[in-house]
Amino acid sequence: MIEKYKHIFAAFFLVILLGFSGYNFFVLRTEIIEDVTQLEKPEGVEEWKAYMTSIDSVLTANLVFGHSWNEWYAQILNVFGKNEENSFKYVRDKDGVLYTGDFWNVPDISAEEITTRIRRLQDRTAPYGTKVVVLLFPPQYNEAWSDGYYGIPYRDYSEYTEEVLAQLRYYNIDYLEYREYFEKDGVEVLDLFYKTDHHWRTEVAFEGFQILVDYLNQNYDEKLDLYYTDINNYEVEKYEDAFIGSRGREAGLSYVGMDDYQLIIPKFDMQYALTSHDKDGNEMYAKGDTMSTLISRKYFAEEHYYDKDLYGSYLDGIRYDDAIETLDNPDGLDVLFLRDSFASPMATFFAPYCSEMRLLWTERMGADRVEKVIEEKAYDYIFVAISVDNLTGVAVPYYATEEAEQDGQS
Amino acid sequence: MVFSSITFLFYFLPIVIVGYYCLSFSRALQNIWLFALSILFYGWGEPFYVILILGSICLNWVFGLLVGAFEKKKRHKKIVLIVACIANIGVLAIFKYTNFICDTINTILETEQFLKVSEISLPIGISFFTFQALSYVIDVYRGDAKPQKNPLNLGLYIAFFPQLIAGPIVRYNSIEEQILHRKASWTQVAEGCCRFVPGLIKKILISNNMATIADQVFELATAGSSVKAVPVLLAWLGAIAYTLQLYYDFSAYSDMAIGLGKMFGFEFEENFRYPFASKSIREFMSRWHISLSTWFHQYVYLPLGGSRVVNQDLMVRNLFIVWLLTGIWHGAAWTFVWWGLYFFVLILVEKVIMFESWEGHDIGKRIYTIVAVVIAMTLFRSESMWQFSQMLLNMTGLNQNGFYSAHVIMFLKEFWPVFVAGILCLFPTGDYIKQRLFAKKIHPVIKVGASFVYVAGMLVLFWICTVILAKGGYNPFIYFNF
Repeated sequence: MIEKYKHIFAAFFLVILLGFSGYNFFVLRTEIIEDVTQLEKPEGVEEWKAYMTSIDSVLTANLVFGHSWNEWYAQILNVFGKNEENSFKYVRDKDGVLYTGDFWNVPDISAEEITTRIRRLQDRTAPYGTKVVVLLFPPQYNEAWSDGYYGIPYRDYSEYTEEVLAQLRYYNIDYLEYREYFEKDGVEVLDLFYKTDHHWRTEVAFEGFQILVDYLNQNYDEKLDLYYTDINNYEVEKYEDAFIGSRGREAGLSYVGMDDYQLIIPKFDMQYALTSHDKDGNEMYAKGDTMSTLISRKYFAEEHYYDKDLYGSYLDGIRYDDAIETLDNPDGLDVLFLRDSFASPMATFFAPYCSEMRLLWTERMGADRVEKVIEEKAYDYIFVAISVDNLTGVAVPYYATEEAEQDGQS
Repeated sequence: MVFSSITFLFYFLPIVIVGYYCLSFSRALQNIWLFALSILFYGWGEPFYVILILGSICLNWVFGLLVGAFEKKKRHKKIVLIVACIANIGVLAIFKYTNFICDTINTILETEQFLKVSEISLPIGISFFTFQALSYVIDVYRGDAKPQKNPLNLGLYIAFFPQLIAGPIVRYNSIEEQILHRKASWTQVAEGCCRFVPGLIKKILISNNMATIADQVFELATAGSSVKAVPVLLAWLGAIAYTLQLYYDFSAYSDMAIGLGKMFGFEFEENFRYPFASKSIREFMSRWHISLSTWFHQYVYLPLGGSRVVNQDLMVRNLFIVWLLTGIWHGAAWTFVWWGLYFFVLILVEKVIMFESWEGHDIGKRIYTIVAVVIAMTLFRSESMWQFSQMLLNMTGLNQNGFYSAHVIMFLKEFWPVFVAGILCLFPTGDYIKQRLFAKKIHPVIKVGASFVYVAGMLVLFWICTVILAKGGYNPFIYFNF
């Protein structure tokens, strides 16, 4: 004989199951149907499985209550006091900062291979007078500024970074390692990074830009005008609790909280022409001052915090391929950034020094396309500008050795 | 499609339930509805192999009819049975074992070229539906069931979505009557819901979390101790986590299947009966994946003579064959073969020393059983014998791997609620609590309170599962090998 409470539970369960399903479909039917019809129709037998998986993704993504699911998830993490989320995808430290979880701390490529690739890049471009400089943006996790929980596997490429640096010196490749500039007494991770995002803060990126200009002046005798590195020539807008980065959006606002954000805007006038391409080769063109080309306030206008991706204020966070022409400085530097998203604010600040600047998101573009851009003209500088946490074969795909390709390294 | 997904919970299941009960006026239409949706369920994850499962249904339907037609011609009937067995096992062998056989031959001959075949992807659930199809033909042959004249009804038996991809393996004679003459009642539906939801909770809240630990530890062990040392305690933690993952995944699927079956008026046999409460390996295996052991017992062990043979050597042979086949059934790799043989050896030794008749030593027996099972599951999880050897060396501290690492405390700290729940639910704790709370002497207020806690607790846990699914949390599917 089944107990009464089981009848009650079953009644509740069925009402919730059927009610929620019906309500969800009724509310979101247009979006669901639209999303499904937009999926690429399968042509061959092999494509059917991928097609069904895509439909599955559409159905899972289209649920009523939107971002509330993330918030409920965050509450569950809070209740259980979790410092890891979603199978160690992200892990939290004592300051509440989210890091990438990594039990291995071994990238997909050897230090020898990655530096060989950069040396090959240098060898190809040196005859044209191009100088290659590696800009190693700081790692988010660093014993000098992070305060982690016991046993939690934070991504820490410090050993590997030391190997890479040794190899760079061995191959006579110039590099600017930012970590050492920021390892000051009393520095904390929140001074440098957002807690909800993997990027450095805008004000730290600005400091990084100042360091770069000093470095070029000292080491390459560039005589770059320090007017542009003076913070007094910029408007600094401070927004408290205004930003939630990609990691925070995944883990939930109530789990990680919000970040303060600074928008640094030049007071000086400078005209640019920006041509961008997305992954499908679609072109976007803009011409005008900084605010109508390189910096945007569009994310501030979003209604929901989850949509306020303020890091996207500079060069839209990151795009596949940006070509910036500084119309007011035709005699400036001609620079190529082989970069990740850390470079976006820094490159924006650096733009006044350049006549032309090209930025390639190497991780997504593939070796052939990157090599073609590298070889199409003589740049003054090529900056291999990536974070230590992204120092992987995928981010440096160009000029791979045959051995690496045979070994299946990225 | 898997049960633990938004698509299943909030699209497929409601459609099946509503459609099924709208067709209550006709059992035939209900069966067609369930069959059609079962094919959609299978095709969702394996669109191409829908042809395979439909082919299997048609073929076995014909075999069943032929066996029935040759009722009085025993020789002909036997030939049809042999052909049916060869056809079913042949299909299973081609899809599941071709790569394994070729790899093994190439390894023996120390070449990669002697036998070369393109990779054949394994159709999900092929071992389950092939065994069900075989069960049908054999039952008809033995006279335990009548040939099914309607191919859709047979199709429903073979492809019924609750047990299609992860069991339990339903024997035809146990369900024949229900296909046409089952009676679905509200009580049964309620029981079904109360079985399905705990299954979902076990899968998402316990198994998936244990998978997080097990996956990390086994992956670290694969690198070898010179690259990444996995200390003794961490290795044991990983092995225990995998044992819990497998149990809660497998038993969760069985719970969900049994629950779903009940919602549509079907009664499936139990597949797990608290195996970790066992005091011997034989007892453990009689409580673990019961439908598979019953299948082998009925269709392999007994026809070979079982235990009632004149010569004990034959009993050993029969046992050996059953466990070898059980191992191979679980996957096309040597680890599964050795896994089956490991149990054969343990059960044989237990028989020889009459382990179960030893009086007392209950705690010792339980510890032995659990440790032996954890080692077996470590072998089951290992992708190669090399990985297993690494894990074993790590567990015994013979791999220059140290005893302890910070990860152990971290895993326990992060997952302690899951460990507590996982260990408590290995034993009939719930049944015990229920008996105490709903005993006659207990005050009615307490009973009402307990009922409220049950209903609210289950709903909250179901909601947590939904949140995790909506969020796209880690949700591994471990039946690709089966």
